[in-house]
Amino acid sequence: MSEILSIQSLSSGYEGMQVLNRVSLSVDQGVTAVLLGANGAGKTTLLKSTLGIISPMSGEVFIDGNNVTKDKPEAKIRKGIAYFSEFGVLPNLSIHENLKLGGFFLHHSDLKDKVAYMYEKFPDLKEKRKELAGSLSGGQRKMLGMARALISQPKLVLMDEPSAGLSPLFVNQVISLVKEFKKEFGSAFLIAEQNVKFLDIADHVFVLDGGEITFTGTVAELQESDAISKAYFGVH
Amino acid sequence: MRKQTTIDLSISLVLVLAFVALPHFYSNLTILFMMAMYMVLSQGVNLLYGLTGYMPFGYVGFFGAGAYGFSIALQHLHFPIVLALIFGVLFTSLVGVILSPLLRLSGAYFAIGNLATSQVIYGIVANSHLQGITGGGDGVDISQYFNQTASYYVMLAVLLVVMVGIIWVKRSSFGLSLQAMRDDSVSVAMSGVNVVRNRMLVWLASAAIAGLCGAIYAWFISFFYPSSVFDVSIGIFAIVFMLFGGQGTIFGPVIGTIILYGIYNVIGVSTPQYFQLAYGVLIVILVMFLPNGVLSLFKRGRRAHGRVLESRPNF
Repeated sequence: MSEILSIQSLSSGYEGMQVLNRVSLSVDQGVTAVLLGANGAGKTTLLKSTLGIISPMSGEVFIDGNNVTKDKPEAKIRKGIAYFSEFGVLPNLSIHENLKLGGFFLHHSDLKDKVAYMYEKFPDLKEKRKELAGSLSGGQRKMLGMARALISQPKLVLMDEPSAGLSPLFVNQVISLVKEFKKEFGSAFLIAEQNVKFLDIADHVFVLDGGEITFTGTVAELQESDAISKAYFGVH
Repeated sequence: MRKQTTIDLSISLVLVLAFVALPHFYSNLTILFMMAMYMVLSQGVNLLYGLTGYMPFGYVGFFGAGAYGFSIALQHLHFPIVLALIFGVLFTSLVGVILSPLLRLSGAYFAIGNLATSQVIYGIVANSHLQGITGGGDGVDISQYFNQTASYYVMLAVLLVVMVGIIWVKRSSFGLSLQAMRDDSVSVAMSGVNVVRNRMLVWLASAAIAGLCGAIYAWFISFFYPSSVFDVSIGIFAIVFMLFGGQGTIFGPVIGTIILYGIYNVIGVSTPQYFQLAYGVLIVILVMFLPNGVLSLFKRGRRAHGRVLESRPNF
């Protein structure tokens, strides 16, 4: 299986403050990888640096074998990457407009089909399609953000704490959707999470602690390791 | 959606045809010209502020640049009128490119920066060292090209084109991306939208509209001073008309211009003391009760049904 994403020795941070220290990881095509880490471990910084929202201090990012380190975020999105985060929803646009915007670079007829498909997957959104996204509940907004990220059927989806603020019911729904998209479109996922529930769908796990990758392996290997207890509780 | 577009296009056509017919019933062509010009100018502001949130307090800088670009093309390059108008637009676009770093600013910083740059352009144009090119403080005399009727109809053609353009922008995915950029440019970039390029396109389009207005205005009056085409009140009028009618709407700037410029001409010239009072009261009422402009009145029914979109009426 070939790599869809490869991050090599990436160091990054904010205004002189280094958060990530020479992080390297790779995600294969069609694989669900979970990036576990406690608050402040650097998960969001890693995803933002991968996408180019934050310019890395050093290191390289490859997508499909191409060096895209210096590409702008929108250029990476057009290459088949999607990003799901707190940026997911535009509250002053209707639900339908949010979805259309998610497929901004798709051809008009293709977009129409894909919007219809997303309404099949998210029937609640279809019912409220003309309402402003700002009128949705937190859980529904997350669903809309997810629909917006997935509408272009991307090759790789970067998800930043999709379970944050969600009830267990919505978390299960998110997990089901990840499984479905992986199965139907062969999308790869890199999910930054604190919630270990996502290990249920992980093919591969990374643990990020203090800006460094401290574990790489499968879920079974993680269970044998003390990486989580170190990352979450500082237990050695 | 197609039905609404047809309705909007029809209203625009009727508006322009009404202005074509009006000189047969009303002899003051200057007022009609100025009203059409302010409709176009306030649509230019609408494009920039209504859709992307940049408040161009120095919008008159582009207007004046267009007037001077046009005059220089006529006087020094000896271009025919049509080419001189195009030159005026290109010259203004070049000014827009030079001033594009302003787009890195936002909110009040952009507004103040834009106002300051318009005064810089004014200062350059009025400088006596450039008298050979711009006429300096003595102004510009292109009275040999004076043709108010032709310039009036050209302004109406521009009004029609700008209305069609605004309707297209409002209905297109490009327009959707602009409205979204106003709220959250990072989120929009996450949809693959080239935010910087789109902002630049709107900035240049808005500058070109003001430049074209300035060029046609210069042709219409044929003699002007720097202070008359860089008068800050021209840009402020365009902003107020747009806000009064409804920012981000297709017909808000038109309605705002008809009402406020109409009042200005009915009572502003004969009894300026009442005009100031009426303007003040209208603006206070607007700010307090209709912050989204007069057209938002028509959207209240939808809001009552929770079918929202109140913040950006479609018509």
